Amino acid sequence: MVKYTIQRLLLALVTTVIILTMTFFLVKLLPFQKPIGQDSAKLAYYLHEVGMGFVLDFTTPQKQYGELLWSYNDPNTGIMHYFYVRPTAEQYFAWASNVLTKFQWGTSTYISPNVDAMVIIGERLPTTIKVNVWSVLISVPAGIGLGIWAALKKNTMVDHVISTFVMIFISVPSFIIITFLMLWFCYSTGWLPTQWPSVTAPLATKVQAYIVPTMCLSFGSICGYCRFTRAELTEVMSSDFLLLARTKGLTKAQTVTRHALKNAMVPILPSILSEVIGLLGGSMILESLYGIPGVGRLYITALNQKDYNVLMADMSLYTLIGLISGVFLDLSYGFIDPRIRMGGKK
Amino acid sequence: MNDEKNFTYVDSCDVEHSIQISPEDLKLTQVDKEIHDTKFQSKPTTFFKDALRRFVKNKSSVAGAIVLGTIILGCIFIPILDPSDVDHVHQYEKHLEPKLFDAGTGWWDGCRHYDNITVDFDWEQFEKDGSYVGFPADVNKAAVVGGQAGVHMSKVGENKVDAYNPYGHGGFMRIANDKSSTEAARLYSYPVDMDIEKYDLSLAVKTSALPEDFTYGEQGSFAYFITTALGEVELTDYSTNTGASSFKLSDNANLISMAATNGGVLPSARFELRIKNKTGATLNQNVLLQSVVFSSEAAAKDNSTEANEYVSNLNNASFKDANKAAGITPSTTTGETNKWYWTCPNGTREVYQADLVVCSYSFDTYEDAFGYRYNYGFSMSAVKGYITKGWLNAEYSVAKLEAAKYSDEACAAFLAGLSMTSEGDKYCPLRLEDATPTFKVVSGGGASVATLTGTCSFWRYLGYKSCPRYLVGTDDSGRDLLDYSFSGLRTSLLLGLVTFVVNFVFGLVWGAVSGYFGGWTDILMERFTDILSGIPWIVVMTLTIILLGQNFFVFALALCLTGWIGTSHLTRTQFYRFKSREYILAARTLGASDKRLIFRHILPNAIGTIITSSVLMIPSVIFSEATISYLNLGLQGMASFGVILSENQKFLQIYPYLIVFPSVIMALMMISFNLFGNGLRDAFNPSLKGQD
Repeated sequence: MVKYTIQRLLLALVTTVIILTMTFFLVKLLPFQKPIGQDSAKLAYYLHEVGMGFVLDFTTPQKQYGELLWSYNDPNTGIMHYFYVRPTAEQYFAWASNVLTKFQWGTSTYISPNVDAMVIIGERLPTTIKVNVWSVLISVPAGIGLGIWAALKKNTMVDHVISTFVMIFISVPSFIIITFLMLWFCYSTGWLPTQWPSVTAPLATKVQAYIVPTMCLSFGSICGYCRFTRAELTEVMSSDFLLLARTKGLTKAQTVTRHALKNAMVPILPSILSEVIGLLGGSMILESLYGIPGVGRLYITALNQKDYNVLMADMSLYTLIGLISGVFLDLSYGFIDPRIRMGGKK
Repeated sequence: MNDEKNFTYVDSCDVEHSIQISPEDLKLTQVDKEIHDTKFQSKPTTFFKDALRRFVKNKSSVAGAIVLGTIILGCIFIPILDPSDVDHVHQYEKHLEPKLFDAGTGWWDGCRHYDNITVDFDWEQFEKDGSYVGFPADVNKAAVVGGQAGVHMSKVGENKVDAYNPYGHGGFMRIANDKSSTEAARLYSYPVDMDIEKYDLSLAVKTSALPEDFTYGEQGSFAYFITTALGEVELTDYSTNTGASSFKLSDNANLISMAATNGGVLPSARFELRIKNKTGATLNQNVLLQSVVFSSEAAAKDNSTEANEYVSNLNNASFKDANKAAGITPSTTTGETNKWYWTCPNGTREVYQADLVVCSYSFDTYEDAFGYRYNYGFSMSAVKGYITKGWLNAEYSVAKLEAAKYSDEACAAFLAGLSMTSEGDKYCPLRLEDATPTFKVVSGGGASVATLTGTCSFWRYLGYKSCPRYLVGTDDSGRDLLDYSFSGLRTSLLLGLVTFVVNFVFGLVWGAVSGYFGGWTDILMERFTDILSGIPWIVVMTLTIILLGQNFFVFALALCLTGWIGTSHLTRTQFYRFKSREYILAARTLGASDKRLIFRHILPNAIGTIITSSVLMIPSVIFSEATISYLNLGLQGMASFGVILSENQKFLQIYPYLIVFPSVIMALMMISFNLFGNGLRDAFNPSLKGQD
C-alpha cells in the first residue's frame, strides 16, 4: 500500500510537471501582453518581469532579441531602459525556479496590475469554496438518501420518478439549469437577487444570493450521487450474503443498514471525496453568469483580458485539482476497504 | 413361441402381474430412412435485428430516438424551408416576441407584457371629469393591445414618486436646509413687478400637514416673505406655519407703504420661503410646499392685454403643480419661458410625493414593427416604382409633375389623381385609405426634390407578402430565432459528428494497438494518455483556440486533442477481454497475422460496445462547444448553438423568450441523446443493462 501510494504520488508529480511545462510553452506562444497605466506602474511591472526572468532589461538597444517591448528613461535614476522578451526556454527555467523556490507565479497585467497572481487567486478561492461547501452539504445527504430510497423501492413508482428526474438533471447542462433558475427565482418572481451582491449588501441579500448557485451546483451532484448509490446498492442487495443474512432471520431493515449500506458505501465515499476536491475549481459558467467573484470567473476574466500570468496560475490550479482528486480517488479505495489492493499483483 | 419372455412383477397391492414380450414387439423403424436436421420453425435473426428488438422494447429510448430524430430533421429541413435570412442583421425585426396566434389572444400572440410603466396621463381631463386617459409614455400607441382599454392604470394617489417626473403631477416641493449652515435656506421664483394699488393682489400658500418623518418646527422654523427691490416684508414670523394660509397683499400695511414710494408698484417682488436652523439642530429641516398662488381678481376681470400679461406673469411666479414647477430648469431652453424656475440657495429643493400613474399593458411587438407608420416620407423614385409595378394608378403622371417642377397645383392634381389598384392593395406600402399624402418640396439649385409624406404599411415596405409571424420570435439582430437556432444546432451537430468520427477512429487504433500488444507498448501508450487526460479539457480548448483562431476546424482540432482518450480506453479494455480467448489462440495457431487478428477476429466482437458508448461523445462535444462560447471564445463567422445561447443570455431579463427556446431545445436534445445512447448500449450489450 505504501509503495503504491508513493508510486501514485510520484506519477502525479511527473504528470503535473509535464502538463505545466506544456501549458507554459503554449501560453508563451501567445503574444506578450503589455501592461497598462502610468509610466511608473509600467516600469514597476517591467522591472518585476525582469526580476521574474521573463524580460530582459538593457541600457542600450539590442538587435538579437527581436522586437523592442518598451523603452523608458527613468526620471528618478536617469537610467535608460530597453525591454526585450527573453527566449522562451530561458523564461521557462526562470519561471520554474521562481515557482519552486519562492512560489512566485508572476504578476497580473490587467485584473489588478502588479499584484501577485497567487494573491489574486487567494482572494477569490474563499468565495468559490463557500458556495461549493453549501452544495456539498446539501447534495451528499440528498443524493445518497434518494439513491437508497430508489434502490429499496426498485421498479416501483418511486424509483421510476426518481430515475426520471436523475435522467433529466444529469442530461441538461448546468448553464441551462442556472438560466431557468435565474429566470424563475430572480427575474419572474423577484424573490432572489439577480446578481451576486456586493460586499456592502445587507446580510439577508447575501444569504439569499447563495440559493441559486447552491441549487444549480446541487442538482447535478444530487443526481450523480443518487444514480451511483442506487446502482451500487441494487448490486449489493442482490448478492448472496444478503440472502444469507435474511435466512438467518434478520429483518430487511437490519440487512440493509448493517450489511448492504456498508458495502455499497465503499465505492461511493471515495467518489464523493474526490468530487469535493474537484469542486474547488468552481464552475466557470455559473460564476460568470451569476457574477460570483470566484476562481472560475477569474479564469474567464484572465482569458478575456489576456492576463496570462494569472491565467497560467489558474490553469495550474485546475490541473492540480484534477490530478489530486484522481490520486485521492485511487488511494481512498484502499483506505476505506482494505480488501481492495490498488496496484496489487495477480 | 420359445423366444417369448415372461416378466412378472408385484405391484403395491401385492397383486402379481405378468408381461409377455415377443420379438415382433421390438421392431427397428426408419432403418433405411436418411434423417437430416430440420429447419428451425422460428425465423432466423441476426445480431442487429436482435439488438433492434431489444431497443424497441425500451420505450423511453424509442421516445428519445424520436425526439432526437425530429431535432436532427429540423436541423436539416428548417433552414432550407424557412425563407428568412439569418446571415444578416435586420434592423426593423429586432426582438419580436413568439407569435402563432393573432394579437390579443393572450398567449403566444407576439405581445409583450409590461408592468409598472409610467403613463403619459391626461391630468387636465382627470381634474375635469375624473376620467383616466393616457397611454404608456414613449411607446407606439397603435401597438398597445386593446387601445385605451388595454392600458390598466393604477388609481390616482396610489402611486407616488419622490423625484421630478415629466409625467408626474402635484405633490410637494420639498425644501431642506443644511443644518451645518448658518445661512437660512431660501426658496423663490423669478421677480415680478406687482401693482398692488391697481390690482387687488392676494397670495395663497399651502404646506402639507405634518408627515411623521418630517421635522417641522422641532429642528428649526420657517417664515414667508415678500421680497422686493426696495426691501423685504415678513408675511409670517418664524413661529410654526402649517397647512394653508392666505394673505391679501393689498391689505398689508408694510407692503402698501413700500409700494407707495414707487407709485403703487412693488418692483421685482416675489414670494420667498426661508428656513432657519435652531442652534444645535441635529437634522436638516424639511418643509413641504404644496402650492404658492398669486392671484388678482381685479386683473382677471380687466381682460385688457396688459392685465392678461400681468396675470400670466403672476401665474408664472406661482405654482400649483409642484412637480411641474420643479421640472422647469434654467438651462433647458433659451428665451422667455425658462426664467420662471424656482431657486433654492443654501438648501436643496426636490419633489416629494408627486402623483404618478403607472400601468400594465400588452404591447404588440409586430404592430410596432410592421404596422402603419404615419407621416412616413417616400422618395419620388419609390412612388414611381409603385406606379410602374402597377400598384398605384396616377391619372396625372409623374413626368408632368416633374415638368411642372412640383408646383402646388401640379402636386394637388397628382394627389387627386392617385388611386390604389387591387394588387396595390395587397403590396403597396403607401396607403391612401387613412390620410391623403402630402408633398414636401425642397427647391434649390434650379432643381426640386420632392418627398411624399403619407401612411406607410411597414411590412409591405420591407417587402413581405404578408405580415410575418415568427413562431419563436426574433433575436437582437432581427433574425428568425427558429431558423437561426436550428442552423446553429446543425453546425454544432456537424462539429459533434466530425469530432466523433476522428476521435473514434484514432481512439480505436490507439486502444487496439495498446490493448493487443500489451507489455511495454501498452505501458508507454497508457502513460501518454494519462498525461494527456490530466490536462483539463477547458485548458486544452482555450489554449488551442487562442493560438489558432475561432473557426470550425480549430474547434474540431481542439476537441480531438483529448477527446479520443475515452474511446481508446474502452477499446483497450475490450481488447484485453478478447485477446486471451481460445478462438484467438486457435486463429493464431493457424497462422493468422496480427492485423488479421485485430481486424477480423477481435474488432468485430468489440465494435458494438465501443460504438454505442462513443455515441455519447456527440452531446458532450455540443456541451463543450457551448461552454467555450460562454467564455467568449465561441465560433466566429458561424452560428453555433453555443454562440446563440451565450449571445441570448444577455437578454435574460428583458427578453426571456430568447433564451428559453434554445435552452429547451438544448435540454431536450441532451435528454434524448442520453436516453437514446443508453438504450442503444443496453440493446447491444444486454449484460450491461441497468448500469448507467
